[in-house]
Amino acid sequence: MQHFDHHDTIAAISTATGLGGIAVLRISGTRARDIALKILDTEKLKARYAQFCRARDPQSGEVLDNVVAVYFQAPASYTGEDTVEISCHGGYAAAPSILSCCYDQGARAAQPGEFTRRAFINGKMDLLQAEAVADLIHAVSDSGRKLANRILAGKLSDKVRALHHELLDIASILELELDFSEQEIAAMDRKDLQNSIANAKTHIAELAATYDSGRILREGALVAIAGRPNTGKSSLLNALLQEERAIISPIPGTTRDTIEESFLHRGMLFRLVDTAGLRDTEDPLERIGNSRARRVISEADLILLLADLSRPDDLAFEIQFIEEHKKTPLILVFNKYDLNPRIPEMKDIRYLGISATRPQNLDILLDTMLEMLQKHFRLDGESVSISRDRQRRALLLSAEALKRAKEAVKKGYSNEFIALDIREAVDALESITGETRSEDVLNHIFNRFCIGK
Amino acid sequence: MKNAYDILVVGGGHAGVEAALAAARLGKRTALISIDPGAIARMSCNPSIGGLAKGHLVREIDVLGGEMAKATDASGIQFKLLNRSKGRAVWSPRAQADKFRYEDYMQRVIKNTPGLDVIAGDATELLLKANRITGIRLRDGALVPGRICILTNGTFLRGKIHIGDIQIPAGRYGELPSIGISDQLKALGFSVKRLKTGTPSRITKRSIDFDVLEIQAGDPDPLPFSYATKNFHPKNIPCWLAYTNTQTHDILRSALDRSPLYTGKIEGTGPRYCPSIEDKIVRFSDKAAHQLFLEPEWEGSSQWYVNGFSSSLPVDIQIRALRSVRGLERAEFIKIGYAIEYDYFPSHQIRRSLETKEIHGLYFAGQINGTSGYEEAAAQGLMAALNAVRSIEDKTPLVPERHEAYIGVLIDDLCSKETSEPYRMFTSLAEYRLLLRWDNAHLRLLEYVREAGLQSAEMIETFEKTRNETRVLEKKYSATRILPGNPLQIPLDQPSALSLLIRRQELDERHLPLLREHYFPEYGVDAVDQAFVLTRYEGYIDRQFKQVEKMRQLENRHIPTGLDFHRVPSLSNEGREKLIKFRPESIGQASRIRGISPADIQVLLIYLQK
Repeated sequence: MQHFDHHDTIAAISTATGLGGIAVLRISGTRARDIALKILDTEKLKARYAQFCRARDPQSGEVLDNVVAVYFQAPASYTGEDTVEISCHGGYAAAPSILSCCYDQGARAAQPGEFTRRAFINGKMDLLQAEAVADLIHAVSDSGRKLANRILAGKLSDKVRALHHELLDIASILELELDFSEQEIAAMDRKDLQNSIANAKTHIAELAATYDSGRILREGALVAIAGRPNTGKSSLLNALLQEERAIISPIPGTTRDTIEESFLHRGMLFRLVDTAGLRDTEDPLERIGNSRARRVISEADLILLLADLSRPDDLAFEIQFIEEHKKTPLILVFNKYDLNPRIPEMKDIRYLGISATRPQNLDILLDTMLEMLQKHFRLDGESVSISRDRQRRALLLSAEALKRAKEAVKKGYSNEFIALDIREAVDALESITGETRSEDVLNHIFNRFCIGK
Repeated sequence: MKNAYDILVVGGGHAGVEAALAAARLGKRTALISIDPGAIARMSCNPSIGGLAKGHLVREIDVLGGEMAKATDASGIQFKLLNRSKGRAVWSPRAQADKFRYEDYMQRVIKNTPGLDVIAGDATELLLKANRITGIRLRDGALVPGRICILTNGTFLRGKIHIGDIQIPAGRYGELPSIGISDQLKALGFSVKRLKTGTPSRITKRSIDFDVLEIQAGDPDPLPFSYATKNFHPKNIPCWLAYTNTQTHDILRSALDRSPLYTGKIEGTGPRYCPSIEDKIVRFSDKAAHQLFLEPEWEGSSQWYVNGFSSSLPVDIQIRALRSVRGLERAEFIKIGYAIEYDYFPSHQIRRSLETKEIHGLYFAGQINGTSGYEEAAAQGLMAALNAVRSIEDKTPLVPERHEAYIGVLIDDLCSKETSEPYRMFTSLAEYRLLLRWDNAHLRLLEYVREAGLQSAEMIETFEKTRNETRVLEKKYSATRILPGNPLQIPLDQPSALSLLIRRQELDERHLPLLREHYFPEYGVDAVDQAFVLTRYEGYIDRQFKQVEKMRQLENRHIPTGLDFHRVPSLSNEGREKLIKFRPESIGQASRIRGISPADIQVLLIYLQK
């Protein structure tokens, strides 16, 4: 078990290493101000004021850089402790030399996630919000950033708290009946009780089901380009990326392996995967490619099934494929629209004609992809979704306990047993926002943060 | 007075009685100091003992060697096992007691306990030497030397009765309050606050029209409270049920401006679970009727207790309102209902041993700690005495954990919760409720019983035997096959494991006598039943034990007594404040203090690891 020490003052460079205009160095802890004052050639640091000054090595007296320092007085800081942020010049020299002076003056190197951990410990944020900080740092798309911001603003915490209340409501009714059975308390109808529990379970399961949408917003949507050989899958990949990423040739089966590339469209990250053409084959290499393709297809959030408009009459494969992948959103894309603009009439399926090589209708395709994902995963701009497997597991655990509670009611068990199940459901919910006593969960989460946050 | 006592118990209520008896029985020279020795063990309020969670407490007091259960068995006039349709954990015994016989019984036991003196007097001052008790001073100036003082003053400390706008300084109706000690403790830096409780009027039996009331009888096959009680054949005298009506409520409402509750004369907070009748009609204004239980105060009593009609309204209103109730139109009043305010010491000031944190040798038990109820008081009295004796003998305090006893829950709550109303025990306060059954108090407390030293060797042997037999039987229940045509008359097509039948509820409590007779005749009735319960609820009980195990890691993380929380950085302000106030003894206890966040607990854990 890893332990953080909360007593000493920590320091780290909070910006990414490498060449850059400026770098920000952060010192947090009871001695943050002292240490900063030893390094900076200023008499005092006024809280919440940006101060221009020079950083010197207190031992040699050498001037290290011209900097801007801001002092945040506890508890009005990110960590809730006294914090000084020093903005200096970027690159490989200035910031590390100042940091090294901080160490000389008694600061300790911050461990990954330690600033945020301190913020959590000082009650500046709950666990969901702390996780959102990490998401925000790692956000690669607009949609991911927005989701992280909504969680950071407490929207998800509110939602979990509402569920928590719902469960506490049920629990309190159960307890009331038990402890006041001598009195005129009308017992809650068992059917109503069952319904309340079922409702709570539904709400919790619904939130658990937002995991996929959260993942898509955060990590991007996995879009598999699938189809028979030579339908133009690699051409489509290249066309969407606007670069020659995949090798294309008129020879069927050119793509043997899966190729993944990401790109952004209207703030949404797409992880586009070009797969090998699907067909029965004796070629051992191609067979491996085919099985990889099938695996990607089974994990995909959206499938683009390419068909060749130059061979429009033979759609038996496509119809079979659509039948087999009913659970996944799918767009039937008729390629080579330029060769044959007559698209067959299809039923119960989104389809459109494009040309990958002489770009036609690609914008419509992209918008359709976005629309289908938004609809299927309910990705409207306001909804909050969970984004971590940890959160999903806790919700499922809670839902599972409620299922047991419902069973217990059905079996005619008395309140104290049902109450035990409800309590377990409550405990699981509490672990989501960090209302738990388990150190392991916390360590696990904080270990995944980058240095400086 | 020349005689030096080991232990002085101030107050002869339910806490004081248990404290004095336990201390003397453990061989300590003990004095019980009471303003009126004739009122020792008086049931000041309702004439009943037990009920939900309270019945559990009485069983625990009994197995640890207290007297309350025996007194109840000896004086009960109606016994009932509540919640019998529910699971075992929430079954709870309750008895209507004959108040005279109850106090009579207790007073006789006290008189016959060697080493226990009863001193008539009002303790007004604690004698201290360097923060250590050396004795007490009585109002008449007499000094009683003693090393330990257990204060169990009940409602007597600066007690003040309210009836309408009339105020009477009193500890109980017609009895003088005790003035002095709370001022002294306050001057010593103790926090003193006020609480309020109430009692309803008593009316004559002859003025009740029983013909229009609902009868409420006890169980026909009653069970005793005490493990020691044999040949139990108590009376079964019924209580009666009446209802208030809208007219009653109108009368009460018309006089709310004369209620000291609403005019601000009463500052202390009353309990929400046992509100006065005027409180009920205000808070539950949509309710057209409230239940009133009419209970005899003793066998053949002419004086009946109107349970549910506690009030501090003026006399004329109480009379008019009660007379509007069907069946009580001609009610004659013997005592009028009243509210009483009294001093208590918020219980963050005591340790788990019930000794105060500031003064060595000073213990608090009962209402002085902000609790209510005879049973809660008795449990504290017993534990205070046990621990006082242990401190004299240089032994560590004996306090059951939350998963072991309601007494453990009670004491832990006192030491970790801030209560703004009188604290009463509920089953919902026990998170390990399924383990804390009324029927297994002797088994779960066995180690404590041995350590406490109040039980007879014979009784301990019986408990041990039951525990060992239960363990064997639990295994046997899984291994025993019940065949079609069995003597239990359970219809079966094919052989089935006994444990399976129990879990499927095809075999229930009613089959147990036959089961024992035909399958396990060499085992005790109690063990056959215990193994049945453990088998029946196995899955749930296992889950509770897992929860206990999880929490135990935190319970076992001790916080050093003198830890300076100012020196623990990164604690939240509120968390630090609460830690300093409660000075919890373990991380587990700290985690239950409101205002100490999970993050604070993390900080503490990390700090202590260094």
